[in-house]
Amino acid sequence: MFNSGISVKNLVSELKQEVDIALPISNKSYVLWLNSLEHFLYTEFIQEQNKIIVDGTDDCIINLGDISMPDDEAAIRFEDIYTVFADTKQLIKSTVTSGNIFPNTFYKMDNNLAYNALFQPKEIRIIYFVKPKLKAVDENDNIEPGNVMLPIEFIDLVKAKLRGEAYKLSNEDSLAAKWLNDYNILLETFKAWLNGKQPNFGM
Amino acid sequence: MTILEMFEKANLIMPIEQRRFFNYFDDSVNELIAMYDGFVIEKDIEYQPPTDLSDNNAVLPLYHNAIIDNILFLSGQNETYKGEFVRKSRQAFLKYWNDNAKGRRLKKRGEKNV
Repeated sequence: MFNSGISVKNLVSELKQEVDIALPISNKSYVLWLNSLEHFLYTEFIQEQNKIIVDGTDDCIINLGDISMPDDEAAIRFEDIYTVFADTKQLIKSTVTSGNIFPNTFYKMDNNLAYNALFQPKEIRIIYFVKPKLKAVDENDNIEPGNVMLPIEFIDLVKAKLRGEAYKLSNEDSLAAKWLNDYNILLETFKAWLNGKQPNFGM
Repeated sequence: MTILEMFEKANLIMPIEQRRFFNYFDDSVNELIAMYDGFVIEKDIEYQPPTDLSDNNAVLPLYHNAIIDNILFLSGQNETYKGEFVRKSRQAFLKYWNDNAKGRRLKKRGEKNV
């Protein structure tokens, strides 16, 4: 994952001093927007893959909530799963209807991963898109430690987005439009930057 | 080439899932058998559609590149790959047919085979 090295607390504090609005905006709101932005960028554009290996189960359902994740990563959702291997065989993503009929498929069942394999596999390898752990705010609106998990080169993208959301919330439409437009332009630059760093081979 | 090597070659052009690869592989082999039956599969081996990357590849070697081209065509690549499949498979067939015919000659009327 990327790590800008800039703490969320410092970034939000800096933005609060700079954003010129009458209505104070809570740290909680800033952190919510930041979490939303990070997850959106990681799942849609960055798409960094990681893998987790779990044992095959008798009922062919893997409870995603029970999977123990690395410290800096958010929990897996079914939608974050890119592909699944049962031992060495790649399963194809399917629906509940087709998954019940055709073998070597995996599908979503009650927010969990269900699979249909010809033979009971020893292990299930889940390849998923990583997302950074959600930043938290305590009951006194203090931001818990954590960094902005995006490249330092694009910290302005984060700032533009947070400023835009803050002005939008305060009904300062023209300023909101200016910053969100800035964000959209920087987002295109970010996408182009990521394109140059894609692997040359494989899924 | 092994099945894995063919899978790698196809993935070098475009990413493709295993299941689709095996399906398109089987389609391609069946198409070859329909055109050139008797000159596609290794001798004394029964063709079984592959279900795993470690499965044995029973198709004669000279057809392998043609099969990869057809897999890419079936995966959505342009029609050039289909043309290449037809061309390469024809060349492979002619090579195997010629090799099989070596040392034989046509008999003239009344002549005994020497």
